[in-house]
Amino acid sequence: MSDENKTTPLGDGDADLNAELEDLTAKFSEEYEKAMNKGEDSGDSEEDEACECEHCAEGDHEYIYDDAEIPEDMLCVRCKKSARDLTVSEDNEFCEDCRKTLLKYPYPIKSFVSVFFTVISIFLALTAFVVLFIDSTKMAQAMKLEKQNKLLEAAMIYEPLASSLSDANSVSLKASAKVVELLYKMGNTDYIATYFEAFPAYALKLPMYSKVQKMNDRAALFLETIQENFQPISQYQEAPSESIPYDELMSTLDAKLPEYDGKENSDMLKGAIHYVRYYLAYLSKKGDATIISILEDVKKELPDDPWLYAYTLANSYSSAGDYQKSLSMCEEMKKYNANDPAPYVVEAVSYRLQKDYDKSLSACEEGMKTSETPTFEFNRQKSITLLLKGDYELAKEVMLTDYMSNLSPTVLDTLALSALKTNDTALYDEIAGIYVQYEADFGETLKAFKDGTITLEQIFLEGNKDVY
Amino acid sequence: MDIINLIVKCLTWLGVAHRVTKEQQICRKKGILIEDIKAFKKGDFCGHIFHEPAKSLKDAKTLCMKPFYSNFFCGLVCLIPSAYSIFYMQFAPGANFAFLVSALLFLAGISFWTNLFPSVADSLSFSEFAASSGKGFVRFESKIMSFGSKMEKTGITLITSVIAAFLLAFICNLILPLCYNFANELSTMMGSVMSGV
Repeated sequence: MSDENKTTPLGDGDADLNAELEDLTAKFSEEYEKAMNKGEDSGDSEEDEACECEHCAEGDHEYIYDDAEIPEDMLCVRCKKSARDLTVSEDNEFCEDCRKTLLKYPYPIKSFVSVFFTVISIFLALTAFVVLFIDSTKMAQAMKLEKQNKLLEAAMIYEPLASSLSDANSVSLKASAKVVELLYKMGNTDYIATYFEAFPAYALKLPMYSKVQKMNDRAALFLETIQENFQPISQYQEAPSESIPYDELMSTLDAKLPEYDGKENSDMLKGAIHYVRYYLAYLSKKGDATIISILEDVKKELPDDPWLYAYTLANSYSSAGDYQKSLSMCEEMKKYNANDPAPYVVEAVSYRLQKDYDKSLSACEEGMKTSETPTFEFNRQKSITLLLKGDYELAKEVMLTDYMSNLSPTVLDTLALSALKTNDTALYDEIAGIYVQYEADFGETLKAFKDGTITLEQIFLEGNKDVY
Repeated sequence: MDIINLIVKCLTWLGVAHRVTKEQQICRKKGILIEDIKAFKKGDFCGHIFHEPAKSLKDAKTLCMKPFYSNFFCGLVCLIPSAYSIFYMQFAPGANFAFLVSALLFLAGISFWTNLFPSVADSLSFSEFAASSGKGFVRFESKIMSFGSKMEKTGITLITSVIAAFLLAFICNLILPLCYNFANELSTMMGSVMSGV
């Protein structure tokens, strides 16, 4: 009973019905098997068999549904009304009309706006490029020179760009800042204020230009301190060195140094005092050792400002016979400012004092190549070396090249020396005429040489080591 | 990450709009169906248009490379004067028209360069075509696009474009002194020629 119930769920009393159902099941299975076999044999899709529309008859197979017949999953995802166009691909989700629209999707307003702004940007950029190009090349060149420590050359390019600062031009803002920086580095502190005053107040508050304010303040403080402390010494400038109350003045200056301890910019204040001390020692002709010791104090206070002490210190070392220190100081000066002619002059003197005349001459040549300044001092040093070498004609020739551009007593006396050595009385008289014109006279050294009381070697290798 | 990308896209509106316009133009020309052009919404297509995949290597390459070059050159033109002015000439804010123009051009240039790369889907499609039928340089381009699109999706291209702008200014700073010296030599030469005449 229970077994029969398992096989005949409709009940055990209706055997005919069960038999009929079993018969139907068998027939259905047979038909299903046949249909499956047929489909596999022919390889056609079910759709081909199912579709009997007029388009298929014409060989143009398409799914054409009446609106009421389209299954939901075959509707266009965009319009939700028409059937998907499966002729394009089986997974196309759009009807024919929607597809045509999407293929030519209309440009939104933002596209036109973006095109407008792009055109404006490019126009502005090209204009800016044309306007800024020349100034930019100058700035880039000046920055390159500055990196190479050619401070003077860089300043000469920055300066014209800085001159239009009153127009609130951005190019001139940086150029002005650079001019202030370079003037400070080269020690031309007197001119810093001119560029600083033209600087707009708002720009000074910007971090990139904060240096300008600092440099101006330090330069002003230096000048102020020098002027204030130089006052008592100024009256002795023309006086004989013996008449200067050196100890008294020096102790006054020394007493000021502790006052600056702990003050803002105390290094600059102390450096300025030491500088005045140096000048006092120089006026009092205290000798190289004293001068070197004072200048070392300046260096100790302001090591980053070699413009204040480097040249005089190198010269003093050379004069004191410490050529190694003098030459190493010259190298430092060259690294600091490659356009500075001073280290080459000191080098030429140092080598000359060591009687290495060839090196002295090559230092002059090198100086003339690298420096942007006039060459008369190099020519004078060259001429002195040639005189010591005994090449008097060439010495005179070198001096004659540009002596008219600098009629200073040192230049005229050196030229007169070469004139005397070559027995060129006409040239000597011409120089004497220039002195008469300026109501002046030859220096004592030259007079002594003419009188025969002093030799060339004594003039250039001893004492002051020069014609003055 | 999607929200950062969306913020970056909004900040660099001009570059996105320019790229989308270019992509749309190419799709219309190539017969590629565009499904959606809303570029400012979160997702994989943020900053791009949603379209059918390209059908050939040529189409895939055009879809990736043309907007890339278009944005790159627009950005380059905007950034040459502005990046140099800002990084090297230290154009400062103030009552200054030149600074304003430079700042706007810099923003425009950065927005172009932030949106250089295609969508991840486009770059993948390009990579697949390039791997199957592309040659050396095309494969290289597809790899660059693929890498760039992944970077762009994180929004990091905003930073990389600023770095690239600085590098551009640096290169300008190397080239400009040569222009200065060339102009000087040219003027000297012209001067000597004129004096000879």
